Amino acid sequence: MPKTRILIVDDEADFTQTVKFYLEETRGYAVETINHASHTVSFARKFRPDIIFMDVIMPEMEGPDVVRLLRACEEVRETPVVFLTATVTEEEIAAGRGIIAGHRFLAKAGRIQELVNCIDETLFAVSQKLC
Amino acid sequence: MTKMKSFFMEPLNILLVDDNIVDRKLLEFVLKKASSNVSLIHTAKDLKSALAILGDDHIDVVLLDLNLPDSKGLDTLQKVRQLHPSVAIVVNTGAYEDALGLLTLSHGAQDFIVKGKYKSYGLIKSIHYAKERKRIESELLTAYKNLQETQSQLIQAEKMHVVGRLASGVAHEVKNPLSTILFGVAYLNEKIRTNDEKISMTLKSMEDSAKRANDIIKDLLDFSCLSSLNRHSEDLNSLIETVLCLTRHQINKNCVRVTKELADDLPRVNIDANRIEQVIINLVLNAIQATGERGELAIRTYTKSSAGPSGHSKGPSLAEGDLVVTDIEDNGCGIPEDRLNQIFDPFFTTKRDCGGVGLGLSVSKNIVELHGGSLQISNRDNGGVRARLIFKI
Repeated sequence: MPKTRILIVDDEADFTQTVKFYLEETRGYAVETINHASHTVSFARKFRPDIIFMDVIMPEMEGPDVVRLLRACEEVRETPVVFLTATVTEEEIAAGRGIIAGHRFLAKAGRIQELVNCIDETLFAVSQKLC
Repeated sequence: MTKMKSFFMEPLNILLVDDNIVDRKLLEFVLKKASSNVSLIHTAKDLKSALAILGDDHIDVVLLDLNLPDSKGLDTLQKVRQLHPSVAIVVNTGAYEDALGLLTLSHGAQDFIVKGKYKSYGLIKSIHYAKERKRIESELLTAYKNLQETQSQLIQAEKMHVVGRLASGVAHEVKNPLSTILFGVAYLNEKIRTNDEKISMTLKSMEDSAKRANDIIKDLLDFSCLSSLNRHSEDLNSLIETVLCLTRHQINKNCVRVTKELADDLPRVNIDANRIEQVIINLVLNAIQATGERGELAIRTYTKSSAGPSGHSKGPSLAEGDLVVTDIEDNGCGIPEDRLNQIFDPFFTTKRDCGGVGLGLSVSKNIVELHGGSLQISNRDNGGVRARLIFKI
């Protein structure tokens, strides 16, 4: 069975590396990271992730703009995207049960278990949809 | 011009204080002759009876001899000023005391006359001017007090504004490295399976510290995210019961005795229950920390008419604009007087040793003011602190 592929887009290299180590070594996922937002679409077309974690505020290009480009691209149009960001608080996310303006959000500096749960739930939702 | 004219037409109540009956009679005679506006003249021959008259009757101006049987010199002036700060004083000095007369002006007298040297017109003018000076002085004092109050409110508002702006800027920058630390610790926890207690303890300390830093950022963010309140008609009494339930652990741990006096007919208030719950939790925890072990915590709710005098009022007569008050009192050591004006400053805390960062009260105040209410913290007369939360109905 192929490994679950996860793509993390964030300009903080320390952060993406840590998440990669954790998810690869404790969960057995295939994780790739991108620290330059403008590389996202070309890389995602090759990597074909099952889920993408996206920062919101990045120097080259903001997360929502990257998502718009992804949605315009046939191969990754349907790939679930979760915004993983420090711009909203856990309370604000909890108030919308994880959804803000139609997008799934996770607050930075939350527990890693929330990230893991989010992956499980998202992949489960996708599998239900396919069935 | 019109004002001046009407001002000099106003009737005057005068108190003559002089132990010499001849001087008293002379002054009385001159005054009555000088102006038909002098409507009432009281006389006193010593300070004690002068103060009694000032306490009982409305007096505009005191003509005050300084050397009385029961008080001498500037002392006489100061006693009258202290006990009756709103009355105008014209000092009536002895014939050779011009220098003393001038000195009285810098000790709060509005004017002075010198025995044997005044004429009726000068006397009545002096009295009218004294009254007018006193009126202007008290208006100026009130205006100055208002100005000081407004200024301190503006400074406070500006501080909050700066912290709010700082918070949203800093939050993003700090949360990124914090996430790396927290996730990194989680990773190491999974990878390092060890019996070495020191390693486990170190990882735990790192995780706790990062979480604490994250909590500080969250509190800071409360400043910048206050704009949207989710307000509903809420019962403050049941909110207080919830808070006592949530803080039960701390209350029991410290063996704090809680007394409640919650008004049965307390009107509902339009508030964001989550936010106000956060405020009350904060105030209750502050009180518990202040009392230490075996302390006492009293919580009272009541209504107060905004129009009438202070005191508790009953429900049915309440009108819009009336107030719902919550008092949270402890019997701890209180707040040093010189610190009272700092307690709402962001990052001011007396609990640095116990992990306080000094944002709780300033965040609470912001939240309450956003509801159009007020949060007052004061020392109680019989020890401890009273936090008073006021909402309009």
